[in-house]
Amino acid sequence: MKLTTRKKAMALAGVLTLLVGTPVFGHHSFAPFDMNASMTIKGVVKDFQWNNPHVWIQVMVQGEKGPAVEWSVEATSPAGLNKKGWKPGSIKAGDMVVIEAHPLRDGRHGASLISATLPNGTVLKN
Amino acid sequence: MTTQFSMTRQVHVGATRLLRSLVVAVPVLLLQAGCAKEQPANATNAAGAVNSVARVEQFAKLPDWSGVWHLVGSPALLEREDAPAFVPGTRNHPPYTAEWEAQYVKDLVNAEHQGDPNYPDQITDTHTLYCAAGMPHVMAGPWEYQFIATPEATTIVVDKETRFIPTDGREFLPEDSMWPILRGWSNGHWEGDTLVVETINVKEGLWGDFTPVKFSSKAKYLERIRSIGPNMIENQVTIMDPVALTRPWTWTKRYERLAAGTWPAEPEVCGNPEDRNPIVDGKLQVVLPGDK
Repeated sequence: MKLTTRKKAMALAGVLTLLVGTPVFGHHSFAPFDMNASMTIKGVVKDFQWNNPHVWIQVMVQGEKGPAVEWSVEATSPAGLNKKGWKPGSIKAGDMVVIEAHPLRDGRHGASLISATLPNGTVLKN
Repeated sequence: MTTQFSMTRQVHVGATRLLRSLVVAVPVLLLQAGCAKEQPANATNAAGAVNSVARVEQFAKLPDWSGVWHLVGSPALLEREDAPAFVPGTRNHPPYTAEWEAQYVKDLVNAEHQGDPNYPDQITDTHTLYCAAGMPHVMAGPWEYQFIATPEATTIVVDKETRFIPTDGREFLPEDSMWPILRGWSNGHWEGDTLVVETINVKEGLWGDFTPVKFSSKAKYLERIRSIGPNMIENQVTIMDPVALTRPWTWTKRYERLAAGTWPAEPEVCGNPEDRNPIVDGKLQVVLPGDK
């Protein structure tokens, strides 16, 4: 798992950035996540929750030591993902995926989806 | 060979048939004449029977707003699409009074910290709190729209929210029967091909877009909704708020018709067992497995 930080020189970046950069709006903002940072999560899908209001991808990430850690990746709504080419069967438990995401600000193992590379190499975005 | 007897019989049979026809036809003609006299101008008589021709004529006067539409352009409330929305300190925003301007600036700072557990003064987008946008945000969001126009009323469907706009000439209800609600209370009329809508009694404090652009419950919203092309609807919205604003504030949004056969997206729901973003003490949460 790799964490990189991209700092943008934009005042009022938190909420207003959503208006510029985030292509999909649900019923709430993605403010709990650090939208100025991105990380890569590579692991095995534990569960793909095609739920309303938000789709969640649970990924087991094996670190260098110790047991695998479960990461929760939040995406937009099923309808929103569907517009980007996702379907309920796009991924399933056992698939190896590589996910780019914005991490939770509070440091827990959660993130907001940017894009996912599926086992067949297809890249789907949030 | 035709005999005189058979000729007489033929004449008799023909006359009988003619008489039978008249027995049937005359009452029908009289009945139709009577019905035509009784058809009211509103195309539906007191018994509920519809004058099809008049009804079709009423619908024919309405614009074709069938199908599913989507917002075009910025989902922010801006007087101009090219207005400086994101330059620090100059974001195009309503002409607030000094008091409301001070609150707006404070809210902007606190809104930046939504979801930050270490920031006690964070405020949460009202779209999140209510799981609904309300007015005016509902007409300026990056969502799908349906405009269902009938002669008596137009209903606008936006995700799971609806707006009911009567155009049958009714008056607003008495003031004490119209408490402030998310979508406000709307009343409309047609000016040619333009639907003119007045909305009042909108719940105070709702964010006008995804930022804390707020208005008081005394605000009046005047919309002029019309087609500006075969597949484009324009909505010019003027907000008149005697409490919050120093002058009327106008912005315009456009909606483009999506391809024929488009299925509207599933409406978003909140607060159900599968919702992992509950609101606790007015703050958005993110629930992970194992959280207590």
